[in-house]
Amino acid sequence: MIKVPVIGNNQQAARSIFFHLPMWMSMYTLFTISVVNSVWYLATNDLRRDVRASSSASVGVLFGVMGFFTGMLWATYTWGGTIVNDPKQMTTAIALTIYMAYLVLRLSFTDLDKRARVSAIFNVFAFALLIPLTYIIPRMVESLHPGSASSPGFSSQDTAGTIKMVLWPAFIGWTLLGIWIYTLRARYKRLVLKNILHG
Amino acid sequence: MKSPLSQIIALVKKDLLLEWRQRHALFGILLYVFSTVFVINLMVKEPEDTIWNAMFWVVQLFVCVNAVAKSFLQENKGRLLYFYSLVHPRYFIAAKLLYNMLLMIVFSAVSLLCCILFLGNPLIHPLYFLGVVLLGGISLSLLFTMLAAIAAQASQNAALMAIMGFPLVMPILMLLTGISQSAFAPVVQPGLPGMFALLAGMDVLVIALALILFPYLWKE
Repeated sequence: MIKVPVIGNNQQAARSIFFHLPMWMSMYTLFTISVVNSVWYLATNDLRRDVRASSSASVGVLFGVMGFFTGMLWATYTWGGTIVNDPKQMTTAIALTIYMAYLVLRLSFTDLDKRARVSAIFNVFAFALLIPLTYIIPRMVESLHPGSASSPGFSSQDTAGTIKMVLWPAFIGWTLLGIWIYTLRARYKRLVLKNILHG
Repeated sequence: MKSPLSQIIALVKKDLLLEWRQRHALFGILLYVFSTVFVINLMVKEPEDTIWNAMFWVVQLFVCVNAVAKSFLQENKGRLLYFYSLVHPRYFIAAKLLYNMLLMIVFSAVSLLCCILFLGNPLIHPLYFLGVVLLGGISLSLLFTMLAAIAAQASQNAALMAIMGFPLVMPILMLLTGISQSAFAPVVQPGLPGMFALLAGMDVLVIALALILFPYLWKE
């Protein structure tokens, strides 16, 4: 157990940062991989790009939901409510719903090429909204979330660097884990579509 | 080859003419607005400010889904192919965006009128609210035009549009309710210019994405 700085009523619940933040890092990485592959698909019409885009988006949603749940767990003890009307929570929930809509959209097609094209277009939309929703709007409004205007973050209090010592390896570890799961999933899907992709 | 602007105007004119010839859809939506607001009136009589605002935007949302959805659903495959051979897809989507914007401006004004008639008038700054309503109508119609284009690809599935559209439209609706809240109170709300800028940014984003991505959508 390492020392965490005590800020306000965060107390020991602050330790959830070691899980909460890396989840988002992993999610952003996977969604970026997904949108790059979607654009690549639109440029080349190569179905393998679509397989990559869809697998990384679904794993990204998994990490996003885990990030949301760790945040909810922390909020239960620090804010006194699992879902409070905090802008960061709301916008993140919306962003995750958009990506879930992407997954539902994929299910509604039978034609592979059409599915790939339409969902690639929707994916670009989703990513274009993800950035303002989770980066720009929460910075413009008041939030209780640590690190925003009215509530101090941890980086200024972490003078001994103990949090960073755990957090940075955790970023790398969870992100690589996410990418590993994504490659497994992509390879599995490619096996499923073997006859079409190599035919 | 005519200039892009005249092509777009010709397409918008065609849509307007088509709308007038098939008046049943137009009046159907007007009746839809009227009956929705009337049902709200029967349920809550004259709601207070925040409820009024929320109800109004929910009505707007559903009117927009219904009005814009058919802009692509009414075109059959053969006709789309015909358009494809005539104009560049970018001009086509531009014309659709413009036409739906006009349509939504009319419907926004009508639903505002209905709401004031049936639900009472809690507005302190009516002109400001009218401006926000028109702006909101435009924003909603832009987003749903693009979504209708996507849904039209998915075997004309109208339910799909709701699944895709509602998460995407949530930030816009949140911004709009926030902005329009100022029309109910005499005090000045902080952070208003920021929200306007964000809404305008969102509109520009949707237009840009529609213009860039629609040609890919049409490739078949």
